[in-house]
Amino acid sequence: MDQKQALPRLRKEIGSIILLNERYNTPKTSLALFHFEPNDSQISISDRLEKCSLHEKKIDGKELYIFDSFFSDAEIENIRLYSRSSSFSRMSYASHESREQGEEPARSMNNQEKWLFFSNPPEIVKNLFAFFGFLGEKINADISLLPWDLADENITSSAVATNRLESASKESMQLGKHQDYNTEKLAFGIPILYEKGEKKHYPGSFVNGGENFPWLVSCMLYATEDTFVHDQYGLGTIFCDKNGEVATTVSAVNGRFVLFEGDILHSIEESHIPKEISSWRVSYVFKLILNPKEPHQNMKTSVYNFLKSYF
Amino acid sequence: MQLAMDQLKPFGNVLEIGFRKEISEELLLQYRPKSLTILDSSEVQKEALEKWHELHPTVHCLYGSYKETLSTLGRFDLILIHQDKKKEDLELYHFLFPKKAAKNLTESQKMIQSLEGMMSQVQNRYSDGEVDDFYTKIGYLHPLEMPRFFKKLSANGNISKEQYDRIAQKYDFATLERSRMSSEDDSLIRLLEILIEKQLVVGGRCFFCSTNNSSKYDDPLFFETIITDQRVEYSEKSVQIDGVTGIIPTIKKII
Repeated sequence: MDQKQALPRLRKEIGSIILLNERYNTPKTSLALFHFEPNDSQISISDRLEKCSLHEKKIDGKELYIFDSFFSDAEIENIRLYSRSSSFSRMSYASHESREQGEEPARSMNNQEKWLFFSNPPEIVKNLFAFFGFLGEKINADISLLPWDLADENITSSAVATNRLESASKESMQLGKHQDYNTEKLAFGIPILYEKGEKKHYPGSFVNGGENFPWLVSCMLYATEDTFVHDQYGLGTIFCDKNGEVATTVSAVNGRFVLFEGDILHSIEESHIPKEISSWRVSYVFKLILNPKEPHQNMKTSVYNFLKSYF
Repeated sequence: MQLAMDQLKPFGNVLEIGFRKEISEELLLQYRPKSLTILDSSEVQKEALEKWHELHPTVHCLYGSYKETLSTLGRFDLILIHQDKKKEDLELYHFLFPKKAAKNLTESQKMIQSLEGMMSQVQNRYSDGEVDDFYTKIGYLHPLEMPRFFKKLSANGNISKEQYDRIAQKYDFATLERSRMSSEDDSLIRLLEILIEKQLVVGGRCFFCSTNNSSKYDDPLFFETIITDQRVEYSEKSVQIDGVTGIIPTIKKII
């Protein structure tokens, strides 16, 4: 598990995604897609899945998978050190609405920091990318990020998001509730991979993960300072049901990652760090499209069927 | 530019695209590259280049468009791109005085926004004549803002949809919107693609002046085309000139 591997294979694609909402037709929007290809990794993802602790939860029928001990101790320590020394230059908010209502901002990476992180990531993230490529191969799907940046006049929504926090209030937890996207009104058209001939795209409204349709999920990797006590200090992630009530809370454990349907309402849990303690936690979020390569596939079911043997 | 040269430390086979006498002389005298090739397509520079070549016959000087002449050249260790003088003056202005340049741009945008704000409080409907009058007196000075400005007028009911369509066609809003959205360095990006593919050795570097002092990471077209090209390493260095921060972008070919 401690073997180092070459950079995972990422394939850049321009021009396959189309904009469906003029609101995002701005100079800051980039529709570049980055695909996670299966690679000849020396590290067996199957072995990692066998050894890791994997839990599945459902919220209003939507999936949430929690992966612990997927990475080695060295990798887990590495993300801590990486996060400690990285720069997070930008202030960020969960949404335009939450910002207007007074949400406390997190710190996030600016465009340069974000690209340098994504293009030359720490070891743990390379293995996460390798997992994406591996999963895509297993379920016969193309796995890519969402379009790199979707920007309207006020806010940019990025396919890769980073959040560094030292505290969060209860109000901020409430104000920051958001969906990463809503497949009932997507701003972009995803190409249909199994349609031959002229390029076609899915409509801007579909049931997330329904048969024949893509499944949009978010993957969140946590890193924490060594002073951070995850079962006491909060700053995890609350996941809410459709009524906005907290259905489950996932603690920010260093090296844990969560795969969840990004249209589950979620927010950063309020913090309980004692005033005399200096600590932080970072989340690295990758918003993914699992795009079926063949018709009549159900991505959500395919992932469940593949992962359930590891529960 | 001197500061940039100090950062680059030119060596090997050097190509300059665009003739700049002071820079070429600096290159020869201080850095003594293995070879120097200068390519310029400007009619204005042709005579100056020919005269300068007489004094420096070992320099390979070419006159012609880069599209026609680059294919005749080999590969280089360093490529310096100077764009046309007027544009470079503007780039230099941005480079040396980024705060002033940004302020001017911001003030232009602020004025339009202020106008939008005032006009949105007015319920009047404007005639075709009034709209054209506005455009010819004020709007033409801020063309890239006009599509958005008139869309707001239409949304506010100050002009009809038909009037908007007429104006959009007459003043070619489609092109203006694309110009606003596409990088100011669009032709530069195309040139860089060619240089990366055909003119740079592995390990070679390319330097150019940015149109403004914004990070190229914030330019989606440049990001998609150049920064994310896996054959290159892109970097930006911040430099301080008289207390003002500027950026030196560099592209290094790694594959």
